[in-house]
Amino acid sequence: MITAGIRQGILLSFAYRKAIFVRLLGEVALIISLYFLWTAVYKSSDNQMQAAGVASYIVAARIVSIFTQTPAWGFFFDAVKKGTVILDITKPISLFKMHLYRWLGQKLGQLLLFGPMYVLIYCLFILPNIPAFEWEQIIAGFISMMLAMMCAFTFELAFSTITFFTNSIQGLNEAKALLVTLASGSLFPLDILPRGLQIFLSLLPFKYIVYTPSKVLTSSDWLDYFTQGVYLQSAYIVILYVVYSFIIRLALQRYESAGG
Amino acid sequence: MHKYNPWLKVRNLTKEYRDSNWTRKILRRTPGLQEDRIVRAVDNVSFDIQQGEIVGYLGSNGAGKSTTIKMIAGILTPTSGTIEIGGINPFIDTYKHKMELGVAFGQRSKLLWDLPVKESMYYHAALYNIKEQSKRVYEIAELFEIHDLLKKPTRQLSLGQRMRCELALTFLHMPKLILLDEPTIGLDFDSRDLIHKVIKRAVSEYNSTILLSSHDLKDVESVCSRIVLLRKGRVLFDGSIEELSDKSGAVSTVVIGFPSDHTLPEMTRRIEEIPGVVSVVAKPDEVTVMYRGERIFNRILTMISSSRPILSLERKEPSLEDLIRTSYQDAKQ
Repeated sequence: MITAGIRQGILLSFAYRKAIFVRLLGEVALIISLYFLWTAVYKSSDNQMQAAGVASYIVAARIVSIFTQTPAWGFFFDAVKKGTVILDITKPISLFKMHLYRWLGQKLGQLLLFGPMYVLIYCLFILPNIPAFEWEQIIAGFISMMLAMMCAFTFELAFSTITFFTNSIQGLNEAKALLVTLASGSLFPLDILPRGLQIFLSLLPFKYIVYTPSKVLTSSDWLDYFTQGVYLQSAYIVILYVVYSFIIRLALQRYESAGG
Repeated sequence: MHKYNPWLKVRNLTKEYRDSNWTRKILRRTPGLQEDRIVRAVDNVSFDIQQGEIVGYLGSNGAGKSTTIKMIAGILTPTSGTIEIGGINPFIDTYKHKMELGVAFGQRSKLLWDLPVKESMYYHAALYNIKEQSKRVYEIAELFEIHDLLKKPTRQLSLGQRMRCELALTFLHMPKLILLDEPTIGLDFDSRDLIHKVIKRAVSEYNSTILLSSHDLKDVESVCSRIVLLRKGRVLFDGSIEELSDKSGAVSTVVIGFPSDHTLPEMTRRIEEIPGVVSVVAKPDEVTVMYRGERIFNRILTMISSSRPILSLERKEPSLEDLIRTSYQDAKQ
């Protein structure tokens, strides 16, 4: 069942390969712009962070963002709107597992299709800027990113359940996307924010979706970020799963889309 | 109620919805702020279905068909009453129930829109732990005549082709219970006939039990051996179409032709005396009889054929739609 779900995800990402490619071209343009922007900003200031470090963080954060990105309209919107969620409920697989396997498959498909491009970006923008290349750091970065993906998935799944209770989620969805972009550190390192705001963001799950794995991949203190991140990412996965389970139960109890 | 060992047992099933809108009530400051309106969508429904039986589940919009189907599917929890399917309770043995259930809703698709149909088939086969998946997909493709469609993405299929693929997917894991809701909606008559044919063929192969809900009564007449008719959440009728014809009292007409002037006043009078005969109109070479009930026709025919040679016979039966309409009108009175 797991392999079937992942296979389905891979095939879907291959079916949408042109759309993904176009989006990735835009992403590469953004990465290059941000790289030179932040390099210029830090070179002109006396901030303790190194310009090269920040720039490599930005590149890593954008790559992590691509892998932790969830569907623009959430996991349930389309199925609830079309009423096909009723068919999903009758399948001998939970909605959680069904979406998780498919989503992981899509990410894997994306990696298979554009992996070489990510490696090239890593070699060009990140590798020259990290203090010393260590395989352990790469492995820790990979584990941190996997946990970040699960964190992003459970958050999105829990958020998507709102679809069952409202007729339109466009406004909420846009607000959520903005919040995740700003609070996850996908456009700038959270270290530049005031101390109080940093503490506040540490209490939200978004930081552990992009900032933590990006720091593990690029910082010289990667082990500290990794060990602290593993605990907090795991805790958020559990918390968000519990929240999702609670809301989906309520949502399914009142779901009446099929009509007469 | 039929006297056989039932496989699907529905007993005193009731579903109530609480129709509350707190925000609106508070904003408008309407009286009865905390009083919710209770809507009883399904009201004390009971019926039995035997394994391998195809039952039409009929009723007007809002009669409670879909709500019942969703409860049998295990999606909605009943307010009261019980459902037993092959000895299991769908709300306790959820996984087992889902493994033995097939669902097809005409307006909703299980097929993956952008992938070839065979990918949906293989995914479905994996979900239901089907061994020898390729062989099974091939068999079902043969049965539903969709072999040529397997490599096409769903988005390229016509509505009729898509429905055949949907049904093939529904039957793929050979479910014991199949719930079909409007399986032929929007199809032309050729596609509809093909769907009827494949449903009947699949049922005879797998001995699946089908509960079919449709507004297209041709579906019901073509494939169902029995109907359960709902009105306002309650069972109005449960039996065969012939039994409904007898019960509803809808008027049938038969025109019997004779070789020459054989219609004698004596025969006309004798026909009129048969209970259930509404009217008799006699002409020199034919008699037109209007009557209520299937059994009456046999009595009329027996009586005439024993005394007169019959040249022609034309019979006009009320359609299932007429029967249901009459039943509804009777229930209103």
